[in-house]
Amino acid sequence: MTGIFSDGGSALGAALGLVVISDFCLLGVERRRLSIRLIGLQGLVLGFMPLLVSGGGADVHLWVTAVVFVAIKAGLLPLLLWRTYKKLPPQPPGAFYLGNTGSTLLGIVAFIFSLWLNSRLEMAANPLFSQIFPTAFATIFSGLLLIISRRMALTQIFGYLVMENGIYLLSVPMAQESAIWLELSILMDILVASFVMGIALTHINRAFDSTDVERFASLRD
Amino acid sequence: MSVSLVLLPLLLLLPLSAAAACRFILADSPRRALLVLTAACELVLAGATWFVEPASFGGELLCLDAMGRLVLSLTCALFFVASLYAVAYLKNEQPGTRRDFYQNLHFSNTPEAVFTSCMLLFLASAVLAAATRHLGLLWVGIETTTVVSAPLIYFHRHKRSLEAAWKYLLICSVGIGLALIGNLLLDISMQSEAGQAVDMSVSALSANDGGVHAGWFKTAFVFLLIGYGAKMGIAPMHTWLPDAHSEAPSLVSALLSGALLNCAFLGVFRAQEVALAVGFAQFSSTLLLVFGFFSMLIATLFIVNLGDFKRMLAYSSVEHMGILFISLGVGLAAGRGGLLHMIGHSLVKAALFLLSGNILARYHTKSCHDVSGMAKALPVTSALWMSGIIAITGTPPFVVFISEFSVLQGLLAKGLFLPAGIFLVLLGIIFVGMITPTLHMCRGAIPHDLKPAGREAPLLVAPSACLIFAALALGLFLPDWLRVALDSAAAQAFQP
Repeated sequence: MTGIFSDGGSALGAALGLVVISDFCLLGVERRRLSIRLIGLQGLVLGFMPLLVSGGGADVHLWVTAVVFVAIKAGLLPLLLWRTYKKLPPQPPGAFYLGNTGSTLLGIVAFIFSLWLNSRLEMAANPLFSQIFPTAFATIFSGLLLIISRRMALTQIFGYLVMENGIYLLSVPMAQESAIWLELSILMDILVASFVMGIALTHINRAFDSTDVERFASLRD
Repeated sequence: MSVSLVLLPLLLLLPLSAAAACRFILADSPRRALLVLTAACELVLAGATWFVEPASFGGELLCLDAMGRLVLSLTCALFFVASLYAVAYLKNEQPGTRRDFYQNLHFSNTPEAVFTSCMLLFLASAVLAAATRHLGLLWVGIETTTVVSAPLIYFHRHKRSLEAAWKYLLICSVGIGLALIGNLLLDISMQSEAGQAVDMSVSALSANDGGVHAGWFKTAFVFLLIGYGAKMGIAPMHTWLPDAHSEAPSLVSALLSGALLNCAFLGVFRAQEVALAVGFAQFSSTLLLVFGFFSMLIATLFIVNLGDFKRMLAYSSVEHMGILFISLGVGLAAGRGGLLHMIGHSLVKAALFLLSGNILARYHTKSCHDVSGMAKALPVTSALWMSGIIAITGTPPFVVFISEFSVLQGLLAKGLFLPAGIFLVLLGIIFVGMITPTLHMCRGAIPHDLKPAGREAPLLVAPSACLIFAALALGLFLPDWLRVALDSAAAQAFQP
């Protein structure tokens, strides 16, 4: 497991470690309230990421970017998720196709795989990218796993947001190059996850008296 | 001010402004008139791009090349036809709550202002995707089509359309997320030193001379292929497509199949354009062929004995997207056939989806087994439906036959004899699988509980008739200007 923690106790290494741990926790928890808090925590760490990778050389643009991203990822999105959660009737946890233990174990396997993949791919011109890649890839995989292993529509939105966090993390090394990827990944968060899916969720609950996607069984071949 | 300067901005701003205006127009008739008027103006502007070279903005941020012009013109033409159909369709929709004829539950429609507005936003985002050669902006355009088309699928607010819209949103959003990862990795693969900003326009990426990281580039291409492929309905990421296409209103299905899939194809086309320029076309072409044949196979397995005519059309789209992939994988050996196939499929499939709306409105069922005697109950629709099915299954003299024949020629010219044989067999099975239920639907006796036939509204049949006639005309005669346009577009991304 070289690479990711090679800079010892640096802030970036610690932040990446925190992101990976929050991925595993998200795969392991059943309670949606806790999941929203974990997504908020992950958002907080990720929001500061552009500053952490700048190595003390952050300009005004990066500071503004970080503040906006923290406000969206650690404030706005968890708040919207919380409001949606409160609007839905209480439903028992445990609605998943793959259990918590299985999901967490798969998440760990995905992280090990992403470390292996990173070592197999040639070193990127931007060494920071190679350092961040395993964590980002593991986060994307955790998000996808949440989407396909959970039956509740709200948990699938959590999965989507975690996947987006992974994509955002992947774009962080390019933050100093004035690349647009960071902004685009945020655009995706806001438009799809919070806005459209949030609205759809309310309709689903109204139409099906539940947000369990297992009830989506009318469209079959 | 010169015309070339205003063409692209107008093409973008017109539908955006009309979409905003729709929210403030309270009466239905002027809103519908605005929809048709905007569609007509967009069609004229798209037509003008064939005579006046539109000025580019921001390098390649707004830039119309040969392929973009084809997709743009096709999108605007289909949107115009769909908007004409929409006038009659929306007029027939009863206001308020009514009973769903499948589950007998109450449902209502999305407000018409929202529906019309989303249609126009869909047009704007499709225009953006076609009129840019910047991979970031192309991604934004395709992403926006997902967001604005979800409410279109959920126009009839019942459980089935909600289920379809949810699946569509989830799968396409994940797909579009994967495409974003592909773009990021492409950026990384092109960097030769840390901190170097990469211009993500296709020309700049293609001009990269030898500094491409092979591993990262190949990974990027795989992500782009899967991401945009999911949006195109390429198997195995196709599962949203039959649900969304079968549950959306017919004119939305027509737009999704005829216009949206082409926009997503444009994403793959651009990626292949870069792969060709930087020397990875062999790798990318193999992937395209594998996914293309797999899609055809999956479509074949599902089409036979499917029993639902809208889902049958949707699986046919999976098949045709597979053929598009195969043609791109074969390269220039397939000649202009691949892009001609894109045009042919869009024309005929849009016509068929519009006609499926007429059948559904008359018979209140999507089951092929329960529809019979269409020749008597809906004579014009029946004749067009039969012609459309004949056309889409690649029967001469329609354009789809010409394009599929070109792809077959390409496979043979490349020495891919076994794939060429498989291609023919799959086409044959699909032909039988689609013609059999069609014959049952058109012939036979009218169900006894069906009310006597009324006159078919011209606006409900004329758009489909025009599209099928265009497919027939292109099959019989390919004008020189279109031949040149297809050749120059194909030269961009088709491997020599």
